[in-house]
Amino acid sequence: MRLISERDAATLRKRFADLTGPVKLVMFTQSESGLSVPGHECAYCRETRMLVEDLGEVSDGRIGVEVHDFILDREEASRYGVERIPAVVVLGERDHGIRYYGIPAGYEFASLVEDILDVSAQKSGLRPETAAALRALPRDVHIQVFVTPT
Amino acid sequence: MRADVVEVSEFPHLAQRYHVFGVPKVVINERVQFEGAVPEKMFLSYVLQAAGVEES
Repeated sequence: MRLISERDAATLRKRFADLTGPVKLVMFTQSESGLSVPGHECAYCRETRMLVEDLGEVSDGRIGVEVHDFILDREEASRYGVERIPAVVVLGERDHGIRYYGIPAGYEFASLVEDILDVSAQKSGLRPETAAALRALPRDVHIQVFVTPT
Repeated sequence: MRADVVEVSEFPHLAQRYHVFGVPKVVINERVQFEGAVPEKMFLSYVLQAAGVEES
């Protein structure tokens, strides 16, 4: 079953046809059997997984998809610094530090698609001055952007 | 550098912890925060402040 519409799928197929560089979505979910660990219920895990798998499908596999169980695959989760679910890690040739927590729907879905294209092309879209200033940062930076579904 | 997009209605404890009343809300290194979209230059300035490179 697919979550994205036929129309969106057709648009995405075109956009993803030019993907050349590697890109992979690593998704963390939990058992969707209806059983859940108290305090760890995951309202949108199932939908997020479907969305990620849809992206793999409409890209004809150009976008790699990996799904992990957050509870069972603790090691993988901590490798990516994932502490809550649903989580989607956007990986290119290397890890650029991009994470989505919660379902990337609405405007965030558009952001995710842009990230996929940028990561694959290894382009940031930043002005050269900005990129240079970021490369010179003396310490690690953690940016959190809080959004709501739109 | 890490960049997280957090759908805050699914993580209400984070909304509370970071006082998210309007979106998008950006928090950098637990030090610098702002609401709404800003031009690239201003965003960079916030990042530099958070990293201790620029005075706020």
